[in-house]
Amino acid sequence: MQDIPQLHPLEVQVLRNFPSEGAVSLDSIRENVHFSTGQINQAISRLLDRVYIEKTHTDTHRWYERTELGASLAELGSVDSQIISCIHKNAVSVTEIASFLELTASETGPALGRLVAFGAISIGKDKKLLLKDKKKADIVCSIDVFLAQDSPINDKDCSEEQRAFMQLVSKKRGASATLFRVGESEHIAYSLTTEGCEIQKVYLSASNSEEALGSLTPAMLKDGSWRGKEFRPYDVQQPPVRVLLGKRNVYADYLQEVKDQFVALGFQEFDGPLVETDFWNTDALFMPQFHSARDIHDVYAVKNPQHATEVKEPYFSNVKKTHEHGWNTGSRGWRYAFNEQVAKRLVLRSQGTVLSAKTLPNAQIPGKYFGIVRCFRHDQVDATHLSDFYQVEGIVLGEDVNLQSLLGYLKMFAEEIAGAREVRYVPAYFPFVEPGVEIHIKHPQLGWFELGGSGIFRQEVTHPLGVTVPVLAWGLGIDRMALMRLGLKDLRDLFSYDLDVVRLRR
Amino acid sequence: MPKIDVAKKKFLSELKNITNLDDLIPLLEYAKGELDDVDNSHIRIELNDTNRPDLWSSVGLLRLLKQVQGAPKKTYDFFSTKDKQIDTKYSVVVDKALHHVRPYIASFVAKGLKIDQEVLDQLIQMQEKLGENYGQKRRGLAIGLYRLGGISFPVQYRAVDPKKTSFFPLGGEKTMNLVEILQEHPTGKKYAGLLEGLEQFPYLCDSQGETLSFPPVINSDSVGKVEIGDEELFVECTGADQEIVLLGASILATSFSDFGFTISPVSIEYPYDTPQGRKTVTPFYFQEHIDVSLAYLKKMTGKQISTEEVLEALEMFDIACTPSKDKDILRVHPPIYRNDFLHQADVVEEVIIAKGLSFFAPEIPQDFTVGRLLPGEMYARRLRDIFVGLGYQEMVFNYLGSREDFIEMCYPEEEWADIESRMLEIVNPISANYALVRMNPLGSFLRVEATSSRAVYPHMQFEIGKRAFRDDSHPEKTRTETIVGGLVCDGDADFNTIHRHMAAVLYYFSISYRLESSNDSRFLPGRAADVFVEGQHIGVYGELHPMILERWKIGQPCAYTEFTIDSLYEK
Repeated sequence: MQDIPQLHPLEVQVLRNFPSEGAVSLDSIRENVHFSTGQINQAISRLLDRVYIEKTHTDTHRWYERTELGASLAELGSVDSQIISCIHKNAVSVTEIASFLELTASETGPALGRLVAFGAISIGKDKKLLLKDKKKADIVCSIDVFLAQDSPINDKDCSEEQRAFMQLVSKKRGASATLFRVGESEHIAYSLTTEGCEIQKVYLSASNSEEALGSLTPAMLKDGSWRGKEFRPYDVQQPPVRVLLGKRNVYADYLQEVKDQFVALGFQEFDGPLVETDFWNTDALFMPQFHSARDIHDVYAVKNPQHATEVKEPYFSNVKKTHEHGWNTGSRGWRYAFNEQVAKRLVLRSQGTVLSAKTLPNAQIPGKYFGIVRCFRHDQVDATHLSDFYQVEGIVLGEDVNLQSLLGYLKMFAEEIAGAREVRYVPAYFPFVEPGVEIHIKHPQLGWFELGGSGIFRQEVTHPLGVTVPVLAWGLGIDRMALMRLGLKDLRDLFSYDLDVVRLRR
Repeated sequence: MPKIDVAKKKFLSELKNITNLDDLIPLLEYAKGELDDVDNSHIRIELNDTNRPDLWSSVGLLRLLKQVQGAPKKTYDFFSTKDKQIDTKYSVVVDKALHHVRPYIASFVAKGLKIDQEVLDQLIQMQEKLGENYGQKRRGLAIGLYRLGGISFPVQYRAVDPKKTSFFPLGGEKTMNLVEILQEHPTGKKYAGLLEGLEQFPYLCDSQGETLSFPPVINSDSVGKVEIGDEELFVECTGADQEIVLLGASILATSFSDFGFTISPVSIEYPYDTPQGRKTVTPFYFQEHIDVSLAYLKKMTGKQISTEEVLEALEMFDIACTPSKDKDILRVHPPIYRNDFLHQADVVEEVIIAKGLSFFAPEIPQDFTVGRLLPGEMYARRLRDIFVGLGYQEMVFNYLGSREDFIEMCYPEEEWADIESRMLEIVNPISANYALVRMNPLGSFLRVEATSSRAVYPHMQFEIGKRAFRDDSHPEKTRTETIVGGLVCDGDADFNTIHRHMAAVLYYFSISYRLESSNDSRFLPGRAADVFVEGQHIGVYGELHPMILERWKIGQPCAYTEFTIDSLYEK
């Protein structure tokens, strides 16, 4: 047994079922071995590598399918046969034939050329069409039977003369102007090599003498026949067949992980609609209606419908008064005439902060809230910008929250969520907070970068929504962290359309 | 956010102990600025605070950075106030009809510096940033610079008949009337929208009728053409809000002064009442004081800061401040070039920045709160497990897509109009590829199949995401729902494939449901089922119509399901 190479069970099965003499096609192997086509291909390719089998010859299967043009002539017959039957009955010339058949010269022209080339007809004096070879003419007419047939015509079913004419009226590619399209498939036959024969004998005899077993079967377990048997050792180096498994998306997985971390830190999740009024998207965040960030070029507006019919009171009036003169927020306001219709304009949510603000009216005190939500920006899509993407945003409400607790939360996020050890705080501007703070963290490879923005909501934001305690607000660049986690560089890869890229990502 | 370019060598040389860009970065943080781009001669700096237009020029930014470095404060003696109007020989007379056109103007005269290329670049940049960013593309603020020499005072600010008024515009080829300028001149076309609906247009000329400009659009080619070598300028700002116009002029005047010009005020005479009276001398200090309490400061920052410390901090930014008797309330007077103190929180932030964020200690949060996921998230997670168990790969898709992917490639042509009428289209798409909000994930699944024909089969994808569509029954007019989609693409994928998968999903969620043969045209007739839960249609599944597969050039049959889950867990 020492000399027997360790073959994969698939190979053994295929080898055993090979005829010791003569060639065999994949199809006939498949009849005897009940593997999938992929498995058989795999076994065949390995046996070819070992030179136990070889390709002996390739057999080409050829067939004809009628084209749309061909199908349209199913009843009338080909122009060629129409010409022949016309010559039978009348004396016509090259120039007359088209009008005789009520066809155009461009239709009869190619047919005439073919018939002459084929030798069925000839052109005589005064361009008169003459029948040259009756037998060939009959063959031309016999093709009409194929035209009437919807199913493919096997090349083997054609006579030699028919085949010769079929070549003139069919094409492999770009066949729309011909009557038939030619189809071809290759059938490869394999046979055992001398060495393969030897190995096959060894395996057949091994099996007969039951010296080594392949699979342990239920039957063996039932009757105990496995006792005293030897099981064939497997080649553990052989790569196995790839398994296609159901799998979570690694990006979604990461987002879930971050959600769980926020919950562990005592935060409640929020969510909301993709379409918001400009009121919630910007007015409630105390961004004046003349603010440059509210330009049409920064936010996606909905074409139809354009406006909501109403925005919830008393928030609508409170925000309006706050914009106009500060209301009771201790602010002087932006001092302009607030446009109610602009506030009702429907837009795609451009920042997660919208949902932070929307959470305020019903928030608990103390309370912590967060959400990972899809946002939309009017940005040219490239490696660092997407038209829709995720943002993680949140708020902390409490009688005693302040700048120092904000810095504490930011440090906690940096350590717990981004795994950072070093943090820096930088003054920042966001229209809805004062003060505003950016948090920068040090990545071991990429160096310092901005993890997110934060601040204390302006009273112009909180008071109109019914909150009188300080509110910390923050947002982190979740997509950037996801790229780092997944080892990617291009944001577009997070939303990939390539199935294998997504399936193989880990 | 505005970005400004400054001359690298000159800019750095004005600052103490700043020899390279790494030193500059922390200093810029005081201005909420960051380096954007650098080349051999220039630095581009992004300034994030949209309420600080005073920083949007090299001199304006340097003024702040030098204050931070402790340089002596500059004084500007050319400002008038309500109580003290400086006498001046220059004046602008405003036409009554402007009241409803473009009512406010502020102005000054600058002399004594020969303009070189660098100064000219900075002047143009300042004019551009103030007008485009702060002035919302000149709607709120437009700035004009002119050669003083060619102007006879008083300057006339008028409202005129646009067809009867003509001049030779800067960058133009001929004398044109104002309507022609808006129709033919490139700058005119750009700003034509600002004058929509007006019968009379703003117009600026001198006492002899010589045209200065057609604000907010274009200067004349004569006195309105400032060039290298000019030494005396007339500067004006116009707009609809007097505070914005006055602030614009104040920022320009202080900056021109910093460049080395000597500033002379201009008197503005209105025939109508303005918030600052009928006669103002500009530049004009109009800002109101704001009171800040130390208790509020303590509450906001979490740290006790003494009156002396606050005064010292505000002094750093040249913010004048007078404490009350008991020192608990501080009265703050904004600098002449700033108008961004709306609330006492804005003063608190100045103190925070001056002290530096490292002055404050991160504090471990004390409040106990319960963390919780939304019911929908919990539900989605269980669903994900079932789909993964069935062998599906989870996908994450963009919610925006093209009309082709979402409608034309997924529905028969006779249904396109109806589908589109229910979908949300974007008015201002940046590209046709992101023009609609999706109503279902089918287009995305099929895009994957069309892209992935080389990937080993079977293909099984699922996604849990959102969709939004028109819904007139709500005041919001639209509705967002959570939608689950699944697609199997394989040689033997058929109705039964998705039928048994859905049976498993619905079984594990203990949902009692009813199936009915579906008429959904995306599926083969007779091979699709509508799913009803308590009489409500929640989804559909079946064998996709080959017509759709053919459009996408997908060579394998596909079974597909989509259903919404919001109504399931809300119960």
